[in-house]
Amino acid sequence: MRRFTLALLLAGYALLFLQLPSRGREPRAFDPLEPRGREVERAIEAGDFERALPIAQELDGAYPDDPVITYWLAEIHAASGRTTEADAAWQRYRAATGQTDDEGRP
Amino acid sequence: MTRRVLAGTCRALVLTFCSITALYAFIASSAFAYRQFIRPRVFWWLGAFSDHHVALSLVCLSALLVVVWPDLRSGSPTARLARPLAGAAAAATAWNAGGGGLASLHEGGWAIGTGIVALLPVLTLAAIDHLRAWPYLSSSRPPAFESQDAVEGRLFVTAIGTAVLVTAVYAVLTTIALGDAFEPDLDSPALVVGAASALVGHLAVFCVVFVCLAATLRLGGRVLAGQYVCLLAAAAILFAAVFFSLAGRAIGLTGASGLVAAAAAGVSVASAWGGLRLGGHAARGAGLVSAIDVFLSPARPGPPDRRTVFVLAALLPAAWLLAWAAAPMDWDFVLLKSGVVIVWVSAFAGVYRAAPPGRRPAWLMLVGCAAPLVVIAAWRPERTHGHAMDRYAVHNPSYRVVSGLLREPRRDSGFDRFLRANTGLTDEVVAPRSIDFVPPAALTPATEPPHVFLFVIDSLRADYLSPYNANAHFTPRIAGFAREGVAFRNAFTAYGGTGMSMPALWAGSVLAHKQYVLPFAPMNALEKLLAANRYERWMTGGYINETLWTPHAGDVRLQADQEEMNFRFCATAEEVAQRLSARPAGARPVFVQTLPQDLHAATIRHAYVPPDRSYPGFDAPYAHQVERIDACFGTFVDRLKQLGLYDNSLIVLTADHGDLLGEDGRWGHSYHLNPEVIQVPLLIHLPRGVAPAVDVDEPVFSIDVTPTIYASLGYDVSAADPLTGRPLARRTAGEPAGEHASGRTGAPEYRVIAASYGAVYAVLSNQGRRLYIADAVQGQAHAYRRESIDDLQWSEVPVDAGRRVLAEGRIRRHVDAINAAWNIDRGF
Repeated sequence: MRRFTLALLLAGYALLFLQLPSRGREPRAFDPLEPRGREVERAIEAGDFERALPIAQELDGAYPDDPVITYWLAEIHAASGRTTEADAAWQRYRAATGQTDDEGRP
Repeated sequence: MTRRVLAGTCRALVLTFCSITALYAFIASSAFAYRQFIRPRVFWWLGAFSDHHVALSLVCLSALLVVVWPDLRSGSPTARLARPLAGAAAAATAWNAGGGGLASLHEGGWAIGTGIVALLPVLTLAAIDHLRAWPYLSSSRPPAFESQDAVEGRLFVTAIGTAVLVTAVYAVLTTIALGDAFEPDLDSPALVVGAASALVGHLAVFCVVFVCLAATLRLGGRVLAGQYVCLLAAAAILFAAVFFSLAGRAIGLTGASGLVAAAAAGVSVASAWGGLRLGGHAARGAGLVSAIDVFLSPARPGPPDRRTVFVLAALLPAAWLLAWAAAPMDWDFVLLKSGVVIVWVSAFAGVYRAAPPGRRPAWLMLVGCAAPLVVIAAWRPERTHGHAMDRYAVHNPSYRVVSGLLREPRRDSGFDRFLRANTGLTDEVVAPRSIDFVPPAALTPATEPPHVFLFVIDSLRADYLSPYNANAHFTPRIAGFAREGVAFRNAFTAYGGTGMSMPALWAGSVLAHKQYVLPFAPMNALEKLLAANRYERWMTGGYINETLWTPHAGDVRLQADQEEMNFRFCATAEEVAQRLSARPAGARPVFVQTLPQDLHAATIRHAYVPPDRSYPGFDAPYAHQVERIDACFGTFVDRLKQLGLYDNSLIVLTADHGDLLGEDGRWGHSYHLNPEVIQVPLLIHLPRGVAPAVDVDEPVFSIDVTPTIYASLGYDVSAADPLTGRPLARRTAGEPAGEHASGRTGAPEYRVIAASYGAVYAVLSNQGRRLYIADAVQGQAHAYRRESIDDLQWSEVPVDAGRRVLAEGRIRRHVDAINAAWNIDRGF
């Protein structure tokens, strides 16, 4: 009985301190440092928006409404002069992040 | 009795000497810690220890021989350890005396090896203790199952009692700290929530201790020696983990070398503690019920003895004293948290002495230890009272440690890894690149170059100067200087910490995060300017200067007889004034540069404040030093005017970074990029024919200083890129105000600021009114804002998703731009 009690408590505290449940529950989030994300960002940095756009759109399909990707889309469209698409992407970014002002708007 | 006292004293000497030697070596092994602490002798006692290490090692050898003398003479098995130990110690002492000692240590694996060798006497003495006491331990009666249950019952009571006691002690301290605060920032409900959260957190921590100890004892079986070995291993792992997470991370001792150093430290502490305790019990023939009694104390019948009462009563003053002593000299809370760990261990030991043994029902232990788990799962006050809990942690050091242990993990640690991989590139060979504000062919001598005085006061905060803070009434001369010149009201450093800030100032650019990319000459845009105009260079020395500037035959070394930490503004200014007075008319222009240490954290804590001086609302020792600098600066300006040099001089008064003076419990600058650290004064007196090129309310940066000097000499600053600064002045006959030849107008939309010594980055935006800090050392993020640049106080605001996405993207691109410029590839 005591061994069982100790084992139970040990497991419970391991879960607490190692944060296992919250890690397990997390939805798979988009990591902008993954290769495809880096490709988009590097293309934006280089001003190659035509190369960045299809990859960003593909990522947008895989991670709908991820704020990093919607921000990239807003940036790409704005830099390419597509203001309507840029506005739409920016609104999606604001909705995803809860941002109320236009700070950082491309 | 005399023999025991002598042996005990000698043993303490050996332990102290070996521990400090190892600590010195471990600090020296870290590139940044060696360059920032050891070499400039920031901690005088560590420098003095190094200076006298040879003599001290002789004392240590003598003490060691006294300790092991009985073993050397005996034919017992301990002689087999004592003899090689004595021989090796004598050889090491001789090698040390021959010049191979601490003074020659520098960063790298050699220093780690030296630290481990320094711990060998501690480990060997512990082994001798264990060998001596082993017959006693192995012959001790193994506990019956009933007594093992009783030990667990005693541990359970100890864990609960310690949690309650520690919570109470630190709750009292928090109340005291808030009572002393100028503007207490926690109301009563927040205090109650904080105390409740602290209680739950402490219960969780000490229940873990109980569960781990009980499990370890059961793992050791019914044999006392088996239990002891398991506990010893657990203690070594625990101490190694504490060393690695507290000290290792703070001094940049991470990775494999950090693990090795932590393991050596952990095994040394655990084995020395166990060996000494075991020896004491064996000498007294104490009856042990459990191996835990070896480390703590066997059960005693009756009420707690006087020693127990003393230990428990001393906890409150000890906790206060440790927090008070740690504050002014701490680095990334290492001392503060170490003090908390000491209080926790002492409290646990004291309560264990007082706790009666006795079997407690399993259900009681289950309920008692599961309750904190359930509460934590159901109630996360940091979610509902985030700001209040952050503030409570500021005032309650023990809660700071607990909340750090229980903190929810950050969702995306990939960004932290990215930052860490791109910071402090000790493992990367980086080739220099040329930074030129003027094409080399166009860098011809200017017409009538002015004298240039670059006064960079280490750790000078803007809000301690009256041009920035009307309440700073103690800097009238600097106020007068600002009225005659230009006071940039919204100035920031590009790097928190001298190590990167000064090179970036000279380069006029942000740099690869490496201390240092050598040779630095191609990047030293300021040095190129001085060479082209044949300036006489009068500079104080110091490690960074000596490493990054190319020495010239005609250089004048200011304060040449002083070590770096003793550079003082008044002495330097007086020396410069005397040298200027003695110069012949028509001599070459002079460039003066100094980095006085009057305000450095290591200096300030010894600073004297006369009883007739008071600085309400300011840190008195710091403010008093600022007042002294102000007076000397005023005198120096007077001398320039008397000599007729003032009008044709470019005088810059600024800082390499600010400092924390107890805000949020933080001191110094280390890994912090709080507003107090990144805001700096920037006051410039421009020579004749030169005018400001930007509005004084615009955000400006320390990397703007060098391009400003170029522009003041009349150069067309045209080769700038997004990583470089911009000129803040222009020749009045040149371009119109608000524009400059780099093609950029106005302040950049944002700037990324980095800590010099760790992976902490900040984004400053909205004209210097928004600040986002990404701290990959602690795995945290912070956001601050202020409504106007007139606000001296910034408000910490919640970090929302928008801020995070935007700031992390900006930091990534900043790092990418640097890597692209320096051809660095870190695999991201």
